[in-house]
Parts: sequence; C-alpha cells; structure tokens
Amino acid sequence: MTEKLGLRFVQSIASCAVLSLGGAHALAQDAVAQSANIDTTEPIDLDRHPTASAETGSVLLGAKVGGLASFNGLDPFVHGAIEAGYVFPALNRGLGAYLQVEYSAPSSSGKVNESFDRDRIPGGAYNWHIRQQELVFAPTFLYRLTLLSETVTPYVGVGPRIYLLKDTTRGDANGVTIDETTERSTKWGLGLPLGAEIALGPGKLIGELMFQWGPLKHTLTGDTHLGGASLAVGYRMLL
Amino acid sequence: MHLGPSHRHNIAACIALLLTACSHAVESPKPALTKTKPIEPDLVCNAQIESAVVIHGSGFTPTPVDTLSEPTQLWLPSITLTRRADLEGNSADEERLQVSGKPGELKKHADHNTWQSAKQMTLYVDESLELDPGLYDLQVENPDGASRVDAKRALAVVPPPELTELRPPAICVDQSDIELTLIGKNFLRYGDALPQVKIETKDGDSLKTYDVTSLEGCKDVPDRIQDAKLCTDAVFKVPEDDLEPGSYRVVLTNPAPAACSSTEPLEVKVNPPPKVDAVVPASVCSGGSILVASGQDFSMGATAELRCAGGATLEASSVEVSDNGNSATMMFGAGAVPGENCDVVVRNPDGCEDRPLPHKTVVGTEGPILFYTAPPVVYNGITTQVKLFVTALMPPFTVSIRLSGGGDTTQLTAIQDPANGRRLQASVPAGTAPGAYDVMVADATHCTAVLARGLTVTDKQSIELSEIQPTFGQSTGAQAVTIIRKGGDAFAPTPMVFLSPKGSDAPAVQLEGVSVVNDNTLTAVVPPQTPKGTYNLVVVDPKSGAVGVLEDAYVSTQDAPPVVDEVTPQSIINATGQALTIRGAHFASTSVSLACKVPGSSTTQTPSVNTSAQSCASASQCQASATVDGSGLTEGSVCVVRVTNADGSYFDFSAIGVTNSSENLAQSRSGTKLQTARRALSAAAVKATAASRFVYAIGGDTGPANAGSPLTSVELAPVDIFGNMSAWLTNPHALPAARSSAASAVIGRYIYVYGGSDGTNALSSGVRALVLSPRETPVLDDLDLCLSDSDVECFGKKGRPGLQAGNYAYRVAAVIDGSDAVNLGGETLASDPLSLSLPDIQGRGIVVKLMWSKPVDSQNAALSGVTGYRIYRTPRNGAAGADEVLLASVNASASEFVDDGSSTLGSDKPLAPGSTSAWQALPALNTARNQLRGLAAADPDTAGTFYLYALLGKNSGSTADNMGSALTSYEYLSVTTQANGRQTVGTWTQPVSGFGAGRFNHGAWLADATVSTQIPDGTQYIYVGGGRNGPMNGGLVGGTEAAAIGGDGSLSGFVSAHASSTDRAGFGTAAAANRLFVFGGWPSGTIRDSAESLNISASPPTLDTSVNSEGGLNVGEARFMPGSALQSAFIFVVGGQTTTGGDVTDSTALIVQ
Repeated sequence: MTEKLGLRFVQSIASCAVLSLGGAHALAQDAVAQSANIDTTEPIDLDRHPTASAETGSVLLGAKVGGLASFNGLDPFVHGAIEAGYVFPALNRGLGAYLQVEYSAPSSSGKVNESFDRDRIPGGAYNWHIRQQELVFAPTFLYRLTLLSETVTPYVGVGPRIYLLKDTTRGDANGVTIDETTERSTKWGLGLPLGAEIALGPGKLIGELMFQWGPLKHTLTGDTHLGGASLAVGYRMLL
Repeated sequence: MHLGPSHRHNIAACIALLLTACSHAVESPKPALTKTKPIEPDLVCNAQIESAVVIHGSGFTPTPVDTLSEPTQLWLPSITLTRRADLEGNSADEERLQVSGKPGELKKHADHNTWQSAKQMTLYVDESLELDPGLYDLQVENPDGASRVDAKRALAVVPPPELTELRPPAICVDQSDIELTLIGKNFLRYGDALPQVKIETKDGDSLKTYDVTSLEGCKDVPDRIQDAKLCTDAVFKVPEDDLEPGSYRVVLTNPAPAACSSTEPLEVKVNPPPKVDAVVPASVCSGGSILVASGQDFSMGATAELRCAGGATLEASSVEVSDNGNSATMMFGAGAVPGENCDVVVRNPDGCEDRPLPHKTVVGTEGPILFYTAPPVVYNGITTQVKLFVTALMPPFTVSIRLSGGGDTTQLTAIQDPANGRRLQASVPAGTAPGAYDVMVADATHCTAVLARGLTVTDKQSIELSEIQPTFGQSTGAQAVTIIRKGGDAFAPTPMVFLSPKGSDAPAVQLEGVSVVNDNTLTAVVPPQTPKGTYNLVVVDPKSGAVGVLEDAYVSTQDAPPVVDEVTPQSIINATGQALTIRGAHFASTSVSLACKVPGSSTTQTPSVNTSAQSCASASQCQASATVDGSGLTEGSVCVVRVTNADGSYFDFSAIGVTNSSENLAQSRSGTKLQTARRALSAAAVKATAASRFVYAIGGDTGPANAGSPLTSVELAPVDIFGNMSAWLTNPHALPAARSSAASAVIGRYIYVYGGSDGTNALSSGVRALVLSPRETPVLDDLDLCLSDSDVECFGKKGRPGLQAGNYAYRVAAVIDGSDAVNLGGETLASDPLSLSLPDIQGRGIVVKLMWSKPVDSQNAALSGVTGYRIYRTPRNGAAGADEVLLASVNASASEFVDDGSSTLGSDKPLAPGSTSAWQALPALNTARNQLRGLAAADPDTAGTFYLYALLGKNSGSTADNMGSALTSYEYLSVTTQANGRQTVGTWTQPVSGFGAGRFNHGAWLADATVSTQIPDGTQYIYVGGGRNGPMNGGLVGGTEAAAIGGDGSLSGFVSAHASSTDRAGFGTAAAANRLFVFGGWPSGTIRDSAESLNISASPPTLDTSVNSEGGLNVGEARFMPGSALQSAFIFVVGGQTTTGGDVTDSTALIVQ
C-alpha cells in the first residue's frame, strides 16, 4: 500500500514536470516566432537579439540541481528543480515570473533510551528513522539586472512555496522491527532565490542560492519548520 | 495552442496530487487479533494482584513521534476496555477505560501498556485501573488514530472472593477428617482449577493449605476459553489431627489467572474433644433417666447417647451444658435394658466424642416407661387434661414437662387414673408457652420416665369458627353438636374439640366422636356429665397445631333442652297471621322464632313471631302455638323453626316452607345426580337424627327396554337442614331381589318397600330396612398400650411385634344377625374414630388394646342381634375418619381387641352415614300388586301405632298398560313402634270393599292437619287419583277418591273428592301447602315436566273443583314414573323416564313446600 502511494506520488511529480516544460516550451516558441518572424525551429537567445527583446518578452525554461540543507534537523540531501516562466519586455526583460517544481527527500534518525520501571518495548530503547519527501511548487517573481552586463545577469526572486509533504517513520527496538507509519500534508512557505545567469550557448548557466521557510507541525516530526537553504546550478533558456 | 490527450491527463494527475496532498493523514498498518485466544488470560482479578494480559495479533505498530522536535517519543498502540455486560452476561452499564500508549500519559495508565512486537502486546491489569467486575470488549488502536481492531467480551474481570460464613465455625479434628464449607461469593472455578484455603495464625503466618474439593452455588461466566464459574459455597476438608486446638484465620484464594484472596477476618475454631470425668447417677432406668456428666470442654449444643452392651444406642432427648462447659445434663427416654451396661458418650456439636477412652458407663435398671400422651397437642389458651400412658408406676409420682432442648421444668397437676393404674391424668395449664415438650414422670423407683417431644403446646389460632349447634345441652346427657367453620384453616381429619369453662382454669372437656363432615363442618358429642356452665369452644388440629376458638359457644344446662317433633302446617303463606302449632318435649317458657333462608341466596329473614300458648301434658308431650307475620318472607324460603326455653336452650326444627298467597310452590332446584339413571323406583326420605337426613332411590329399572330386568341397587344422598343434597352413594345393602314400581313408605327410620314387579310378575312380597343411627354404635371407651419387646409380656402374651411408630385411628362397628327382627341384620355404623400417634421408642413396637362398650339404643338398651364386632384401622399415618379399613372381626362377647400389628388390613370400609341395615322380608300382601302406591299413617287413636297401605295397582308384572287388570282393592299393615324406635309388624289386611275405580300407576296422598288447616287434628285422609286402568287414552282414569283412616287402620267409605282431576299416570306426588300435587307423569301426548294440584276444600276430603296449573313449576325435565318423597318441608322428585323413546334420567329435583 505504502509502496503504491509512493509510486503514484513520483508519477505525479514527473507528469507535472513534463507538463510544465512542454507547455512552456510551446508557448515560448510561438511568441518569439510571431514577434520576430524567426524560424522557430531553432532556439533563440533573446538577450542577444535586442530588437526582438525590446519589443517582446521571453519564455523562461530551466532546470537545476544541487543540495538542500534543512534547518529543522533533517540531514542534507540532494535537491532538484525545474522551472518555466516568462520574462516580460519591460525593463529590458528585467522582470519575470516562473513556476518552479522541486523535489527532495531528506531524512534523519536517532536512538532513544526509555526509563520506565517496566520496559514498554523490548530492551527499553529504540532506533527511529524518518524520511521527509517534499514536492514543492514555487511560483516566483524574478528581477534580472539585465543592464549590468550582457554576459552575466544577476537576479533575485521571491515567491510562495507550496510543500507537498510525506513523512515516513520506522524503527526497531532491540532488533524488533517497528513498522512504517506515514504522514502526509500540504504546507505553505516562502522562497527567496538569489542567483546569476551567465550566458553560455543558447541559454544561460545559472547558479542559485535559495532560502526557504515554512511552518511544519506533524505528529511524526513534532512542531518544527521547513526552513533551509539550497545551493544549485542549472541552465536556463530565454526563448 | 492545442493540448493533446496526454497533456490533459497530466493536468488531471497534477490536480489530483495537489488535492491528495492537501489532506492531512497519518497511516500505519491495520492491526488484527488472532482468532483463537486473542488474549491470554481472558479472565483476571480486579484487585490485589497484577495480571499480564497478552494480546496476540498483527499490525501492532508503535510510532516514533516528535522526531524533529525533541524529545522524540515512541507512541504504542492504545488499548481500550469497554464493559458492556456483567459477569453473568447480562447487559450492564457501560464503562470505558483507555490504556494509553503515549509514554507521558501515566494518568491514562500508559505504564500498563507494553509492546513486544507487531504481533504481541501486553496489558497489565491491577486495581489501579479500577475495573468493575464484568465482561469487557477490548480494542487495540495504532497511534495513527485510525487503525484499530476490536474483540467482544474478550476479558472477564472478577472481584476477589469474599467470605461471610464458615460452616461449622468450630471443629474438632481429634477423631476424624472434618469437612467445612465456606459461604460467600466470587469463589472461582476456572477450567479444572479450584480455589485453595489457607489456614493462618492470627498474625498471618501460613500454617496449612487445603484444596477446595467442590464448589456449589455456581453461575457461569460466559464466553471464556475455559469453563469459568463463580460460586458461593466452597467445601474443603481438614484431615484428622492436622490442626491443634485454637483459633485460626481462614483465607480463600482463587485459582490463576485470577488468584485473588479473601480479606474478611473469618476464623475457624478448632476445639479439643470433650472430657468426661464422671457420670451420676450410675444407673439408667428403662423408662428414661436424667444423667449428669462432669468434666470439661462440653460445648453448647452437645448431644449424648448411651451405647449399650446389647448393641442398642439410646440418644439423649436433650442435653443442657453449663455455661462454663464443665457439666452436661442429659435426658434419656425409654430404651435402656435392665442389667445392661451402657457407655455414656458425649458428643460436641463439632463431632468429637469425649476422650480419653474408655467412656464412662452406667447400668440399666427397671423403671416405668412413659410412651404416649393423649392428646399429643394442646392449646395454651385453655387448661387441658392429658392422659399419660406408662408401663408401670410406683407412687408417689410427679409429672412435669420441659421444652425440648432445654429450659425450665413445669410440674403438672396429675393423678393416677382410678380405673387404670398405668394411666395418668395431668392438666396442662393455660398459658403454657408454645413449643414441643419432653414429658417426664418420676416415681418412687427414683427413675424418671421421659417421653421426648411427647407434648406440643400450640397458640396458632388459624381456624375461624362460626358456630356450634346446638349451643347447649343438658349436663346429664350426651349432646350431639355440629361445628361450623367460617374461615381460616379447613377442618382436616381429625381435630380434637374441647369445651373450656369460661372464666375458670378447670380442665377443658374433650368432646367425643369428632367426625369431619367436610372442610367446614364437624360433628361431635358433648359427653354426659359435662358440668353446668358456659364454655368456650376450642378446636385443635393435632397435625398442624392450628387452633380455632369460639367464645361463649356452649351452655351445659340443668334442664333438658326442648325437642320439636312436629310443626304444623308444613308451610306458611308469606302473609300476616300465619298460625303454627309446635309439638315436642321439654318445653319450658318457650318462645318461638323463625330463620328463613331465601332461595338461591345467603340472605336469612327473621319474621316476627308471637308465641301465644304452650302446654305440656308430660315432659315429652308439649305443644306450643305461634303466629308468624310472614308478610316479608320470600316465596320458596325454607324456615327453620326455633323453640327456645327460658334457660336459653333451644331446638331448631327443619323445616317449613313459604308459599305465596296462592300457596304456589317455588320453582324446583336441581339436586345431585344418581349414580344410576332409573325409573319406576321407590323413593324415601328419612330423618336419621334431628340433624342428619337422607333421601333414597330404591330399585326401579333403567328404562322400558330393560323393564324385565329391574334393579336391586339402592342409593342414598345426605341432605342438610336447608335441603342441600350431597352426592349419591351406593347403600351397602341392595334389595334382596330386584323390584320396580313398588310401593314405599317411611315410618321413623324404617323404609318399607312392597309390591311392584320382579320384571315378570306382580309381587306380593315386601322388605324393610332400618336407616342406621349414628348414635347406635359401639363406643370406643378406652385404650391401653404396651411397649413391646421379645421378652416383654403385653396383654398376656410375650413377643408381640406391636405397631410401628406413626399415626393410627380405630373404629368399631357391631355386626347384626341377619335374622334379628329388630335391627334387621347387617352392620351398625362405626364408632367415632379414636386416634393415636405412637412414638418411636427405640424402634420397639407398641401393642394397642382397644376397649369398647356395646351399642345401645335411645333407651340405653343394648342392641339386639349383635353377633360380633368389626374393628377398622387406618394404615400407618392414614387419615382418621377417612382411611379406616377392616382390621379384624371378633365375636359378640368381646369388648376389647389387642392390635399387635400382626393382622393384615383388609379392604372393607366402615359404613357411610345414612347406610341402612340389611333388607328383611315383610309379611306378604294378600294380593300381588304392581304399580301400586304406598302410604304410612299414624293410628288416629293409638300413639306409636302406624299403618302401611298398599293401594290399588294391577295384577301383572308387566309395565305394558295393556297387560293385567287394574285393582280396586287395598291392604294395610299395622306397625307398632317401641320407645326405642324399633318397629314390629302385623299382617296385611285386605278389606272386602275397595275403591270405586281400579287404578295402576296412579297417585296416592296422605293429608292431615300438617298439610291443610282445613283438616282437623287427628284426622287423616288418603286420596288416590289419576293413573290407568288400561292402555291408550281410554285407559287414563280421571277423578280422585278419598277415605278417612279409621282407628284400626281401615278406611272409611270412599268418596269422590274430585270428579275429573288429573289425567296423568306415572307421576310423582306430594301433599303439602293445602294441596295435592302431581309432578310430571304421562297423560296423552308427551311426558310432562310440569306440576298441577288440587286444593283441599273447606270441606275435606272434598277437593276444590278447579285444577291449579301451578304456574311455571316444573321438575327440571320431563319425568314418567319418577320416585318422589316428602320430608318435612322438602319434596324430592328422583329419576324417571324423560322421553317416549325410553330415555331415563339420573337427575333429581328438590321443591320446597
């Protein structure tokens, strides 16, 4: 049962990602082609085509990978994200908005020695382990310092974060297995990405440090938060 | 842009993920319980101990929580117990207890909840959970709050055992194993496991532990894996010598898994055996003795016995132990054998006999034996004289009583019976406390004869008496009385009846001849020489101890009370100015009153009566006149005429009737049914005594088809003073030969039956029988008893077996020679029962000697023809007055009989009241007559002489109307009555001149002043009317003829009293209320159920011309050839043919004139 739920969860995340990327890509191709009369079969870096950019916005597509350091006690864990959005023509395409979808599954474990007169469990102690699977939808408003350099474009963003969480605990007591218990919920948070785009090829290499925070009160976790920082590199295209 | 199907699918999946994720849910595996033995044990105690209840299943999933916010905890599945039923499985108030799995919730008993694996948890039950007894559902719920599993009635919680009593509380284990029973509750049986009983010192140190051997008073605890019961009684055994004397605490512990223990401070006392140092006196008398044992450790309630060398054991009837336990006074009854040594054994109630051995001994010696008291039950509201029977007595002596089991001794006033030195008479004073008493007789032999529980004193007044009739009697003579109960305990055979002198401590007079008539009625005889004065009536049931008391019930008078022989007329009109003439004896300043019972009602009317004159030619020939205002009386009422003398004594004459102004009779009422339906019978009504009267159905046939085979059987039915009939009985003596359509008449207690048909021929023969008097019986005067043994001579013979202990009753009847012309043969009624209750004297038989006096007539002359006596006795513990059967027959010279138990009881029973003697032949008629009529009339000139008349009839024995010739002749037979009521007869005289018309199946009436005020005193008329002289309508004979009875019995010349009168044949008749009545009969057409009558005119014997149709008066159903009889105010119409097809009825009808 638990395995089936997990599989469905991963399938759903994959579907969302494909949907986001596919949709954004199609929208971007259509817009550029219409505004600049460019062959839409080839990718276009709009930052390198001022004429087009002066008149039109750009579709933003990207992907990142990095690490997540949680501030709530979970161990660091690999972290990945994809993004799709739109860069508006204003301020020389300095403003944009995108939706980022992230996934991470940090975990933690520990051991507790109980002190009851009569052992409640075999050996009077137990090991526990928790894994928190996070699928995050993060709509982000973006400001790009496009006037600073044609090669390097710093940016900063801000936006809410929608956490789809699944905690799973298990453990053992003196070698006797404690079966899994899962807990699911949806939480809201806030994300603040800081990064820079470096023109590379048809798109931009990006490096991004993101701070995030959100409240978390699960039975399995206790009353804590979703705060943490992630550091990622990726590639972004403005089409 | 166009989104393809795959895009739309992805969008939907994403939305679904979001929706799913928005709900907050915790999930863990769903727990389950094993199907067999989900928990072990399934029964626990709720106190004292901790019980680990292991829960088996799967999916028991603890959950680490607060893993990211310290401190991390491990939540275990919670366990919830819910009580829904009591321990017997009945629904009970719901109680719920959750044992938390969260480690911090100690208040929710988290420390009672442990987890061993996903397949096992353990709940620890102890009294901190405060579980009430009952059956609990169990639920395990994982910490996710959603995954749970239930088990119904999984756990039974029982309370600890409780002790309330130990039986016996004190024991002695010196001489045997002792079994004890603990009484209490919650004694557990679980499977085969039973509780254990621990014996502890008072300091709580355990000394012994005994297994409970059995449990009683158990109820199931349902649905347990093993058979479980909670019980109230636990039996265990303490082995001999296992405990030293002392007091110990007793603790019962239930078996696992609910091994709680009792906490009540219950103790068992272990006694030492009693010790006898000495016994005085050193001898024990054969009739009983009081022995005193001195020693130590005698307990209250101790018993004692003598174990004699011959093997007999004699139990003490009572043992009194001194307060310090150092002496015991033992009362022994009869049984010791002179010269024989006996061990004196004292046994405490704990079962231990005295030690050390050997026991002290006493030697048997000769002494009187008291073995019976009569009566054995007395009422403490009166002083009662009892008779004591002893085997020997050496004066001086004393008689005393003491409550059985101990108490103060009361000495009674007693004398030796002058007629029998071995019989004592003692008075039990009024006010003696109720209870069972030992009776003791001490005499000059220095022996004390003891009859344990020989006398019972009762105060249980639970019989409600209504009246005694009469309420007086002359002190010099015996007086028969009837006692009526109105409520409370019913009369049962056979009570004792006493007359207790009012305002005096003098002994009560015990009535004789007590007989239970029914639940509400007793008859008895006040013995002669009852002292003058007023008495309270006391009835005592010796079996139940029930007593009835009626204050001021009876007066024994100086003078003879009045006796009424006759009241004329026999009926009055419900109008003013009704004159009555009362004749009888012993009238003294007499007043007359009437008590009239309304038909079909319990209402009694008492009209005003003016007694106008009285006179006595001699003491036995008195006459009084009275005028009754009958205007308020109800037609059909029956009036009892009471004649009261100045001293308050009175006589109730039953009875006269009440008619309306037309002198119509009231409607008939149904009597009881004959045993055999019959017609052409002879009926007779006889007054055996003033209070006992009977109606008889004699012979007849069972219908036209059987007319050739008449009946011999005779039936009788008792009738009370108000005419109420009891069931018909078969008279012990049938007619010597079958007879139908015979004439019958009654003179005194004799029934005469003559003529008729034997089925073929007309008969000239006749027979008569005497209705037996309850006063002409042998009288059981006395009895003597002898305690039997192999070498004891009882009534001149050694080794009689004797009767076993029990209740017996005797009756004696005299056998009369069949040729005796006075008493006519057969058997007298039996004496009143003499009851006795024989005690058990060491299993020895008791020989009973009965003594009786011969039966005498009213003149105290011995009955003639007595050839022997028949002794009847009940089986052991049979009912007196009901169960007696023939025991023996002895010859006429005997006046006593010894019953030593060796005779075998037969099946013959004493004759019932109302039975007759045998039937003895009369002189033959001059002319054989069938379908004749008979009458009896007093000689108008000579007192004591009567005449029987055989009137008309036909000369054929066939019932066919066309057979034989109607006779005009008649015959008469003189009957002489003696002072004792016996009658002798002459021979039949047939005058040359007869009636004007021949008749058969006709009617005949005798009318005198008691019938009609138009007929002067001393004048009697015989009327004949109706009937046939041949077949068909033409054979019906109308008109009525009449003739006066002459001084020699012959009739005057016949006159026509009525020209036409009835045209019926085969009807019942009665002369009453100034009329000649016809009941039923068969004129032309159908058989009638109606009545008609003719008035006696102002010029008797002429009858008024008009025929009274008698309104709606009928006799219940159509009747042809019924029997009819008249007795004072009552007319009985019995049986008859009801249809022309030949049906015959067994019904009877009663009409009050």
